Amino acid sequence: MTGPADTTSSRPIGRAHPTRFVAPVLGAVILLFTWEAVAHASGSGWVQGLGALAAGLLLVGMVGPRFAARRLSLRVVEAPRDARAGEALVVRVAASGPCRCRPVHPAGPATVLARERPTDLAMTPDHRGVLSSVIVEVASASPFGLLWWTVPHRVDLARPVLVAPRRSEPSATVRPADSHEEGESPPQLALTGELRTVREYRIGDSPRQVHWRASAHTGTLMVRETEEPADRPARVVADLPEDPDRSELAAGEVMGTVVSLLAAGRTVVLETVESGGRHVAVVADERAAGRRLARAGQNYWAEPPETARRSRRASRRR
Amino acid sequence: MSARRRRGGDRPTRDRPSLLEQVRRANAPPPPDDSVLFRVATAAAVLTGILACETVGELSAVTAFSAMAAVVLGMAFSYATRRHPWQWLKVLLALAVIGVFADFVTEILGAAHTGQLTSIEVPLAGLFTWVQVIHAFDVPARRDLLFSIAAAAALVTIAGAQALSSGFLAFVAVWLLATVVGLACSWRSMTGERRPLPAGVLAGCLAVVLVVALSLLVVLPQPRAEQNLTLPAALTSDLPISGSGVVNGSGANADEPAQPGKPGGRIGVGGYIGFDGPLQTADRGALGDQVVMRVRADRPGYFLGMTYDTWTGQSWVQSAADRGATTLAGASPFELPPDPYGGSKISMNVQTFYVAVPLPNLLFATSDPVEVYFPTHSLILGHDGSIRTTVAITPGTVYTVVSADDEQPAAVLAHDGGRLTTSLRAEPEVRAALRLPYAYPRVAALARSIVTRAHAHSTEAKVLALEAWMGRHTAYTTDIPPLLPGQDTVDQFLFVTHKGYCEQISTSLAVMLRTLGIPAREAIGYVPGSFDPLSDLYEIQAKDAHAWVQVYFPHYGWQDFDPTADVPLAPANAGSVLLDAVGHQLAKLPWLPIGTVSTAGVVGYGSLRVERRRRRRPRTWAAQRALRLEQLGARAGARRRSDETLAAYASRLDALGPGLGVAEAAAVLERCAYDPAAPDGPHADPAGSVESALGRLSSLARRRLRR
Repeated sequence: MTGPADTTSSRPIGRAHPTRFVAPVLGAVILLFTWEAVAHASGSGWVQGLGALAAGLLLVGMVGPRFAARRLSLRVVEAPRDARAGEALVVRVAASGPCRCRPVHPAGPATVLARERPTDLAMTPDHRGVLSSVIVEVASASPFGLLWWTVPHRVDLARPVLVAPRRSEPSATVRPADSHEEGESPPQLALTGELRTVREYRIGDSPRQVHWRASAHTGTLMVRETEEPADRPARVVADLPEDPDRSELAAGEVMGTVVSLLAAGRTVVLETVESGGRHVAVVADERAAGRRLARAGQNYWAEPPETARRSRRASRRR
Repeated sequence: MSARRRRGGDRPTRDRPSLLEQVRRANAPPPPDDSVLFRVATAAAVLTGILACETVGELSAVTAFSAMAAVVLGMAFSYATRRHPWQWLKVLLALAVIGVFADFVTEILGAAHTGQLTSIEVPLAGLFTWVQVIHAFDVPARRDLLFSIAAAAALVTIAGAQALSSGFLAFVAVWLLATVVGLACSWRSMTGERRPLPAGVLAGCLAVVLVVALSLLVVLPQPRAEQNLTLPAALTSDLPISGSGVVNGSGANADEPAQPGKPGGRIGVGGYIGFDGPLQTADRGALGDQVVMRVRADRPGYFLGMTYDTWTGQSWVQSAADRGATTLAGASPFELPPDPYGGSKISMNVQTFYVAVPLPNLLFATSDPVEVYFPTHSLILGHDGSIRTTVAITPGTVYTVVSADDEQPAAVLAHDGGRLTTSLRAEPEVRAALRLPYAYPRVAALARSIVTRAHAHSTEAKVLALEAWMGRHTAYTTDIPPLLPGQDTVDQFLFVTHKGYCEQISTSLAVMLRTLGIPAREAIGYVPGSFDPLSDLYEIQAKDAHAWVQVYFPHYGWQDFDPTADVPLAPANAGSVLLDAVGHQLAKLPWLPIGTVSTAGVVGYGSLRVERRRRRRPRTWAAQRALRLEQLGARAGARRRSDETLAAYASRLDALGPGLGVAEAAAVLERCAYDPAAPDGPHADPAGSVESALGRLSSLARRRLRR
């Protein structure tokens, strides 16, 4: 599902730096020295003048992009609500000027953007989580296209994208809905099954089983007694470790379990620990499970501590 | 599993392609470029380069214009077939390029084998031109067009190596503009941008490029001719000169700037008096600004043409011009006999002369030439050191002279005792340089009194004392009447007028020196003129013809002295002096860079203003008309308040006059501006109420202004 995003502009989070500059700069220096040598060999001031103009062109072409890149900004035009780890996430963005944009966090291929023309930017999140912003490298070679200068930008999404985990093989962490560990209160399940009879209240009965009409009729507190439900809800506990990779694996297994249970027609109760605390609720479908698991545990896509430095390092490695 | 966090490793893994795959990708045809402007700019840069080569003579007109037509045709063909290039054509073009290279190598080797390889620019220009022509038929993509732009820069540079005048600036300007537009189009092509090029950005880029270029030109050392790999020489005519060793004009036409003077009157003299026949000092032709020749020289100096040794009272003549003349046979370069006074030479001075008008058969050079590059089989060396050719010097002639400058410092000359031995006096050259047509008692007395008062004992001191006296007591002007027949130039100058020009000043010094027994003779030639830093050439005009004195030093030979340099200008009225001074100072300013930077600045500023105004202009029709309404209202005397809505403001305007209907127009504009369903533009107001109201408001404003 996609939806329109509010116009949020990107902001630079690092310094502009040239990309693959050694060859162009070295080439330009050699060219200009050769030009100057030819000027002195021919004794012609015109050759030197033309060389000076060429130097001016090269300087503008190689330093100009630094200023153009600093002035660029991106805005998100459209972004999806959900995504899945390992699968492409496409965000539609528009740039304030022509540029080349490459998602870094999550990573994706570079895309050339024209000025103010909405363009799809593909990226592939490799972890589940809540993605409230993406980090991209915005590069410009304006005005002559001779050298690229890159600036890392953080682009805030108007609405976070919930990245579901990959779907792995089902795990054995499924427990019956009414099973509970010692010290825990049993989960309060909704009543299901056919009504068999009404009997008097006994200690331990749930207040939700009270049959008020019969109680009023008999003057005694009466409770319903039902047949065993045909699809007894399955309780799936997502106990995710802190390590992001192990957590990712575990979430994938939980996802696989939930999906297989849903595919078998079972009602699934998913128990997760989210930012607001323990959360237990029925999940209706795979997307709902994905959203729950995206929020579960530590958010991988929260503010990375060394975003700018890492982005630059990654750029150098390239 | 390792507990290490791999948060930075979220890049999708990519398999490194094989070498073959990398080569295949590198050679894959790039996407075609659809920008017409990019192609036009590229073609303009290439055509400019070819035309520049033709202008400086590196390409024949037929070759150049054929190549230009082929480039245009090729570019059009490439554009038409950019999506489906003809593969077999690539093979043909590759073969053609190989052929052009083979022809280039053959030409170079052939010229080197026959010893005629003086310049590589001409074959290079041909090579680059034909490569451009061939390449123009296969430029489907941006990469190909960028190659054309780079090759165009090479073509313009090759032409620049041979450019001699400031007119080449026009080619540079067009090339620069085409290159900047082409590169900007290249960037837009990379990003798929289809909007028109922003004029402000282009102007800004141009301005920065010019500023950087001028700064570099200021900082970089000027290229000098001595670093030339070859010394140029060329003839454009093989018209023989009649009479061996005789100085003669080319005979090409009657208005040669250096033809013999015709002392019939001041008007119609036609050029410099001298360079053939007597040097008249009684009158002087009106020498113009016509460029006679351009000189590339290591060091500027007085370019000597010839000398005169016999003074008649009003004119100088050469006694026995053929005496001692030596014919130098062989081939270029000609080695001249060494200077007998050589031994303390300073350094070599390479001078290349580019002749612009027909000149006499004299080769000019600074003193003591040692080597001459001139493509003939003989030269004639006069006894005075002048070099004469046996063919006419016509426009386009190029020759190079290497001189061993032997101008001695004053401290060295001061040690020359100046004593002439009897044997030296007997030398014909020295004897002629001491001869006077008659006794100059007043001049001799004056000269003696000057050197006595100056306590000058050496030759050099005497010369300097006389020069100093002339600097104090005489003035330079060309505005004097011609001498009458029988009047002596020196007497008139020293004792009557005290004003004169270079021939009269130098003649007076020579005669005074001769009365003191110091050998002196009249030298004529050209001063360097103005220097063009771009072409690295001194531009010599007809008015740069000059006369000075050569004084004989027994141990150092003939040394140049220019008394005119010490003589101040004759005072005219204060206004003209002031104007002259201002004009002189203004003329010294580097107008080319100033003009270029100023023009770039004006264009840049204008473009920025236009761009800023364009940005500030409201985008929508409704906003534009609302702004217009506010402007007209202000003119009518009711300025809109900041807290006033358009409707309220319109109601206030309606109160200014009956039937204005501004409120109705404001309602249309507000609906158009704020109702998303309402169309924008003039069709939002089918009844034309807005335009009508604006018209009525405009009339009201005019009426109020008239009052």
